[in-house]
Amino acid sequence: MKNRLEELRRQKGIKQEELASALEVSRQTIGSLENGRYNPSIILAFKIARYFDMEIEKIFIYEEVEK
Amino acid sequence: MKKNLILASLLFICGISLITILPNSSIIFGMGCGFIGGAIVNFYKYIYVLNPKNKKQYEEHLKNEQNNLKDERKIMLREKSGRITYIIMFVVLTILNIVFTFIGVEKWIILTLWCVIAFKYICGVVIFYHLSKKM
Repeated sequence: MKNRLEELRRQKGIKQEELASALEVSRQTIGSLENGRYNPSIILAFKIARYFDMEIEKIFIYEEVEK
Repeated sequence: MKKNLILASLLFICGISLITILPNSSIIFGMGCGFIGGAIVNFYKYIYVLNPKNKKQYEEHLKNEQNNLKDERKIMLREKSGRITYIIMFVVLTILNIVFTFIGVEKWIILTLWCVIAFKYICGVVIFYHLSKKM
């Protein structure tokens, strides 16, 4: 799953630490999310969407893997 | 933090008691020194927190600690590491038991180790079904 977290964070002009603090997660989690190494839970995805005042689908792009 | 101070005080009293009651026993003396050391560290922490200069830093540290505790990625990692350790321990115990059987170690040791392996397995299955029912 791809996401636009880094892009949105940069647009807002905030640091990873600030975003982490606002979402009540660790800075490493934000880093992992931005690198695409970790997919968030639905609760965290909603928190992120609410924080950026956007719909989840606009932030997280789900691409089905073709078998 | 006051709770920590009470605990540190108790730890200090325990340490002093252990050292004075049984000064000739090296194990008890070591334990007592350990208690006193732990208490001193906690006292230092309390004094550090009381300093108004460190208040902001300490509050940030507490917030970070809370975030780290609730952080879903870290929770997932803890669960994953626990699962991997469980599997490794399973393999290690089994290998150890087989080696012990070939070496010819006393029967009760081998039997105990097999019981531990069986208990680990049964416990894993029971907890899985218990959690499955709840979810």
